Amino acid sequence: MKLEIKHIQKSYAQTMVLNECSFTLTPGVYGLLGANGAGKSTLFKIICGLTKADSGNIYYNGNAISESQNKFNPILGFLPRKIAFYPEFTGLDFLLYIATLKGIDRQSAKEKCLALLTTVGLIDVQHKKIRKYSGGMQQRLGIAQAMLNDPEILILDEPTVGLDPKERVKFRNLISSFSDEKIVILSTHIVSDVEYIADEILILQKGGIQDSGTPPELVQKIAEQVWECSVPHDLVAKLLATYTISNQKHEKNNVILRIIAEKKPLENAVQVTPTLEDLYLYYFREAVHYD
Amino acid sequence: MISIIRFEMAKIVKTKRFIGSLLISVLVLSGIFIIGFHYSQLGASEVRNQELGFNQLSRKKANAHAGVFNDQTVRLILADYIADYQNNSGGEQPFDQFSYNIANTFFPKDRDIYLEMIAANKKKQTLKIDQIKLTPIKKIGFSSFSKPLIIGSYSNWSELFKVTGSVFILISVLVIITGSTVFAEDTAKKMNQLLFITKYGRTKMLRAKIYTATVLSLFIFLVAHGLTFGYFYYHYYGMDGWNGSIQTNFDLKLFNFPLELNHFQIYLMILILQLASLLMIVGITLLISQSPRHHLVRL
Repeated sequence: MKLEIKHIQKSYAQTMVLNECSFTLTPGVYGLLGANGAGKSTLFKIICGLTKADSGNIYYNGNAISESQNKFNPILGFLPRKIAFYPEFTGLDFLLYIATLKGIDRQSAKEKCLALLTTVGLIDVQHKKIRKYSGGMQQRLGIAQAMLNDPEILILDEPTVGLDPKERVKFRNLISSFSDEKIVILSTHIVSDVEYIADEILILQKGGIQDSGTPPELVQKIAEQVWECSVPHDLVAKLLATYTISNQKHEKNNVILRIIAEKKPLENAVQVTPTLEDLYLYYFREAVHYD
Repeated sequence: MISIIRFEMAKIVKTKRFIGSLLISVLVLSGIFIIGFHYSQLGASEVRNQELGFNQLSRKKANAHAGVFNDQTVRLILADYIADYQNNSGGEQPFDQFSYNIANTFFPKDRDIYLEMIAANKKKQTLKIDQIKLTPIKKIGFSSFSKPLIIGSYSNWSELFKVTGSVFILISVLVIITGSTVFAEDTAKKMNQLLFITKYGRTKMLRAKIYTATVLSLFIFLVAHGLTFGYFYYHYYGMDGWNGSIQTNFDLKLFNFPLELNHFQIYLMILILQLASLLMIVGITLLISQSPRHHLVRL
């Protein structure tokens, strides 16, 4: 099982969104990290055949999917970003609808829907209208519909946005439980979501994959570039303008700053162990600075 | 396909928008019936006639003279009319709409027959039909066919035609409200991303949406007109005058209408034309609905 993205290019008007984007995926969980507008959703739409790339191709097990999107889609499960479900449908109705569209026969559709509702913890509310579901419940319903056809490739576009920490943990556990012998790609800004479950992280920047690796491997690359120091309040603004600050902790008289810099920023700065969040800010530091 | 249609139907009818529109439509339809039937000229006059002790006067007069329409029939109708008018001169006059409209057409224009009848009554005399030179049918310009024209109750059918027109406007609005969400809703909810990657998302689902919108529109059309016809049937005189020639409808005054059609046939023609228009409205609405950039979709 191998998904190969090769030299994908995509522009919208004058803006190049994806530029020679290439990578290969085998069974496992992949976290796709990128800033807003990096092209994550566009990449997913191209994989799903919702948008056409300007150039490049995508291969699944050696076959170009553009030539046989209809054969590729049945092995795909997709949870788009921010979908608004049908509020008057019950959870079960919605899954049955998607199952019907996915071509699952009626008998097995009902069984699958009930099984998935049990797996995602929504079996008790299967007859409740979706408008009464919380955000977390709706997202779990979303992943259930993506799993209906038992896909080989599962694509989740920012699935944990808006969820509280408890719901995010439930969601992460669900994804982990589904990931056996599947290619799971999950895009997110919340690095902790991928930190715990991703086998590999892909950094999408400037239209392409700038770096990839396991979380420890990537974090190791900025091992000597994360510092902590205590500074007076009046120095904070100056340092914010100069460096990438990943955290500010206000104390009585001072502020403890966590700074990402290649060189020691201040005399009293101490090197600390980097986290994945530091890595994210290291790559997307332009987005952190506000005018 | 049937399953997909069932879900597409549920996506439309289970919404507050549709249910709300339906409830409002019922109110509006009631209003149309009240204004179109109860407070129509015929409706209001028959209520008054009943109060005066002349129950369903227009109907009785129409049925009494129903049949072949010729100069002799006109003469008999108007003879009856002026006799009744003069008999009731002393008290409150009932209103025989059937005969009144015929009188307006065939009484000579250079005389006020009503004033003459009042004057005659004051002299304790009676104006007879022989004293009135009625305009012949040929001079009015009625169409002629191989078979003679038929007259019967016509005012009830005139009201029905008017109400049918108003009901069609209501149906159109309801169909537009319903149809506009068929494609646009999935686009607005960003569900298309999910639906289009399914096996039937770009094939059967799209066809199912079109079938659903069409079937639902037809259903609304049939129910609305079914209710209208049912109300007409029970409120007025059943099917009285159904076979009267459209040319003998003295409310519409289509004396020289070129086709040999009766009231019921005209009613069916109206429904067929409305149905064709409705299908066009459905088509245009769906076309606009599937265009995500159209500003009407955002309404």
